[in-house]
Amino acid sequence: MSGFLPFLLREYRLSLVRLGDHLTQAAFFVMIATLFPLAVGPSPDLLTSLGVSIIWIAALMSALPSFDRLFADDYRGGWLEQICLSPHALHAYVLAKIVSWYLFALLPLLAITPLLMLFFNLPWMLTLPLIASLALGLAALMLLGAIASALTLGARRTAMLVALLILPLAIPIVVFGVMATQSVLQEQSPSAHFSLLSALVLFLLVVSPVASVAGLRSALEDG
Amino acid sequence: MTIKLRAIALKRGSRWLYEDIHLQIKAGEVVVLRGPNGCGKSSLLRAVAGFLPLEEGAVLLDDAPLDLQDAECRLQASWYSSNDGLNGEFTARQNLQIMAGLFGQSADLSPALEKDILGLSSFLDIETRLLSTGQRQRLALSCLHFNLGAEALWLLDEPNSGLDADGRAAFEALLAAHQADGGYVLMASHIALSDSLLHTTFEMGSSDITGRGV
Repeated sequence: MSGFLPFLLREYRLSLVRLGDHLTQAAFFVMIATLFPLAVGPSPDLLTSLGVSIIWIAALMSALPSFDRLFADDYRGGWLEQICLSPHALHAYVLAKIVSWYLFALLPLLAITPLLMLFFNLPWMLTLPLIASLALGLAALMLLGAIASALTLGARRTAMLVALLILPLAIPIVVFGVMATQSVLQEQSPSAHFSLLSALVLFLLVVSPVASVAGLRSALEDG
Repeated sequence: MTIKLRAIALKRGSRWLYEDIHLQIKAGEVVVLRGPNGCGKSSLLRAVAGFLPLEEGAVLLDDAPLDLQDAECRLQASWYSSNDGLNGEFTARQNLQIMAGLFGQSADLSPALEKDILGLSSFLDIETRLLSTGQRQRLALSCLHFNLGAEALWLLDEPNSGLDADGRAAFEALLAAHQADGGYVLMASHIALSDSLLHTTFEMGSSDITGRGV
């Protein structure tokens, strides 16, 4: 795809500048997950049974608020106009944005997950399935977030709007993600849940760039 | 080749801006749109670039429809508006490199900076958000050249509003060079160009706004 690498390079440089924002998000993730043991009480059995779900919800809640900024700066700054008239396609830009946002904003959440598992007394054998399911789930969430972010460009107070748009669509992601990990805990095969989660990611990988580009184009009409 | 705007009608929301604009830009011609605020100069530029859909009419290049956003388009276009596509967090040099990369030029800026008509060298390593309005405008205007289709169409929305006298002279030198290359320029501006630069003025009065049904 023409232009993908130059776009990725720009997003990479931009992410380095904004590393602080992304790390704040990771800190927020830790904070939410830390509050639960304090609120629920120190019973190890209860925490173990709730742990996977809480980590999932915390990841969701810390990832969501950032999505409204995904395209907003480039839209206001006139970068989208330049892309439209360049030899490169908006599709390549959208994909580069998604890939770099995933690497810089969402991968840190995965890196911290093993630490959070300690808080909930989760067995070590869950590390791999939990991180794998979160990696797939956050990828699907990211792709949904791109659509919502592109569609709400130009609207006011978009952070809540984007969250409201995404959350209902994120229900299957959470259900399959949590079940994939829980089934390992119950010594069953998680492969069905992982297959469904991967199918969701692949489906969104096709749909999301197309829908996002359509959203960006319609926002440009108002520009 | 000639770019023709034929019977263009534009709407913003439910309001008609105008319904019958005819305009021609020949190779090597600079056309300046003038008119009161809100008469639709920027909208016309956005429509020619293809960001704003036309209600009626067509943009033609020698009688064939012109779609500037098509990568296969015979004519290339450069765009300038106050939302200049530069990122405030990058230094001026980084922004130039990114713009050069976008239009397929090498990241080595030395050939581009050799002439340096707009005088960028004094602030190349400063973060773009710290530049003054005029400096930032110079930086953005210098990116017009990265679209190396020599006879590109330049669509410029208020390109000289923040420039000082030197800057305006430099900007006109840039236009003259583009004119000599056989390029096209369509710009909206409140600041008159000097008479030494050959240009045509297109008046867009409020009389063009018609009371057509809402």
